[in-house]
Amino acid sequence: MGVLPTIEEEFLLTGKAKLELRPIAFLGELSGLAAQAAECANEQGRFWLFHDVLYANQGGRGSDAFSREHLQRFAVALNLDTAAFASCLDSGKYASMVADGTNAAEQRGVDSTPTVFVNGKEVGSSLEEVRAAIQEGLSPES
Amino acid sequence: MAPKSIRGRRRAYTRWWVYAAGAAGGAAILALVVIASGLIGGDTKDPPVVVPVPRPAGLAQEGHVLGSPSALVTITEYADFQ
Repeated sequence: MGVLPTIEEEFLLTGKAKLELRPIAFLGELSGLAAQAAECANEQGRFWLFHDVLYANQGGRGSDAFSREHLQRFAVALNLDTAAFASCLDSGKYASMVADGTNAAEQRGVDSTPTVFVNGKEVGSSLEEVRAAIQEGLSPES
Repeated sequence: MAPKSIRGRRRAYTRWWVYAAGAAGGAAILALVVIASGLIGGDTKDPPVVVPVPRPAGLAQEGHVLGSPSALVTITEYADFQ
């Protein structure tokens, strides 16, 4: 079981913690395009569903798994309003937002993906480290 | 009878060779058609899109945030989708 599903089950579904995802684009042009596509899906209330599809269809650095064509295929598979999605993506309206978010992350010291903070404190991204940090945040002494 | 017999064997031999060549040619054409249909008509370029199981309805989702807005702990993840 991966980190996110476990954290979801143990802490998100139980209302103990919430997860905020901040997309960044370190790994190339298609990283940026994928992040913009997620924002376009967010316009239709499907950010997390699109997030899950991106991860499920990753091709790795340098692949074309997140090409414009493939991102559109993802939108079709998720039954999004594909015309609105395509218009959004082609407009580039979220390009600066993704770039600004990436710059802000770098200024915060983020230099790898994923980078995780729990209550503002950077922690390792393994399940054990994230779980321990959450439990610390839940303890009365924290 | 003898010449006739010789001519008959030659004709039979010729017929066998023609049939064999025809069969081989047909098989080759069939193979080319199958290969071409796979390359042109088959969708070998794009793998099917993997669509994960949706999250439980009880898990709040609002924009980039997953989970209850009033949760005590906030996890912030910076991630590159690629």
